[in-house]
Amino acid sequence: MADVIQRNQSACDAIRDSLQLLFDGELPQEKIETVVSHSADCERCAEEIAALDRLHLLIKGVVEAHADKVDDRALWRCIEARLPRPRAGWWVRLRDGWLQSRWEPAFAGSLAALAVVMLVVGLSWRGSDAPAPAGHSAVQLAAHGGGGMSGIPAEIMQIETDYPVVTVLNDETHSAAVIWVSDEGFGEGQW
Amino acid sequence: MVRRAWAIVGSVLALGTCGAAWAQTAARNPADIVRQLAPGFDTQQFPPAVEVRVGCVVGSNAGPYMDPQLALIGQQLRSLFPYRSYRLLKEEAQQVPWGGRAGFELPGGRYVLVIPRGFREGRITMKVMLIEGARPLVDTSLALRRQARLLMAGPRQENGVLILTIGAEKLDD
Repeated sequence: MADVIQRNQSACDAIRDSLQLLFDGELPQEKIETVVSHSADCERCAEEIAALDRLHLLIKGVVEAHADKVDDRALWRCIEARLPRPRAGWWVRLRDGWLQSRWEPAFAGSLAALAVVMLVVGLSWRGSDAPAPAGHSAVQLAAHGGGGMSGIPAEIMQIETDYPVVTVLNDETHSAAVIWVSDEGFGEGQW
Repeated sequence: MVRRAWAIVGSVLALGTCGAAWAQTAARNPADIVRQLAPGFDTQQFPPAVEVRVGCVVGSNAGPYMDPQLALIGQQLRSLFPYRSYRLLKEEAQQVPWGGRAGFELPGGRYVLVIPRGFREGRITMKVMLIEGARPLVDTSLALRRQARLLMAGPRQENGVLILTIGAEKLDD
């Protein structure tokens, strides 16, 4: 008899430990069946389950009634302030800082104006009559004088071009000088 | 208030410089471009001394074709260039004094400028510029022998390649 009482007490303790998981929806299916079958035979556990059920419904109703009134944004800000800040890349920090800046529209406009001014200055510089910088596109050829070059159709003293490939040919047969400019380069074996 | 003022100043500056940039790069009268790129003297003050002749040819591989107007230089073109078709778009001659500017408008918005500078050892020294928009694509100085021709080729033109034939002769010869 004492053993039966002790076994029943152990079963009730085990069921009682599972009740919170039951109401949280985290109890496995087989254990739910155990709790239900036990409570069918145990009046004391059945009363406890019913009491917990009433408490749950009461709390749920109160929470749902007030949920919309809670300013979760303010709550989140408070929480976020206490969270450790993740280390963002320098570009992300720069962008965020600029977006939060109070002078954002003015800076954007000033930067745009500065960029356009630099573009105009660059174009003006390029189109001026100042000597062009000697880049890969400026070819200065020796000015040949004397009888050695008298037969060639043209003495090319200087060529400046933006094309990456420049080919110069003097064709004495046809009394023609050719300046060929290309973006791609001349085909092999053409000349 | 200050923010708004800065935004207005920035916008005005941006608009102003955009306008200046547009004025710089927009298509202009070729004569204006020429004056900027090659300032010279007023050609009307001096009598013409050189005849400059410029032809505009398009070479392509569209099909075997030689423009009848290119009969004199057809063989030369075939031997110098790899194309199967040669079509003459335009040919023009101008008489200018030494140092004068002979400008020729080309199809496709291009412009060629020839400035004969002088006569040395049987050659006409000149400056030749191929211009597109407001900038020179090619700028060359050369001394061209009598009855010789300069062929400048390479820029894309329609479905082919532009070939310019440039010649110059003294008028008193």
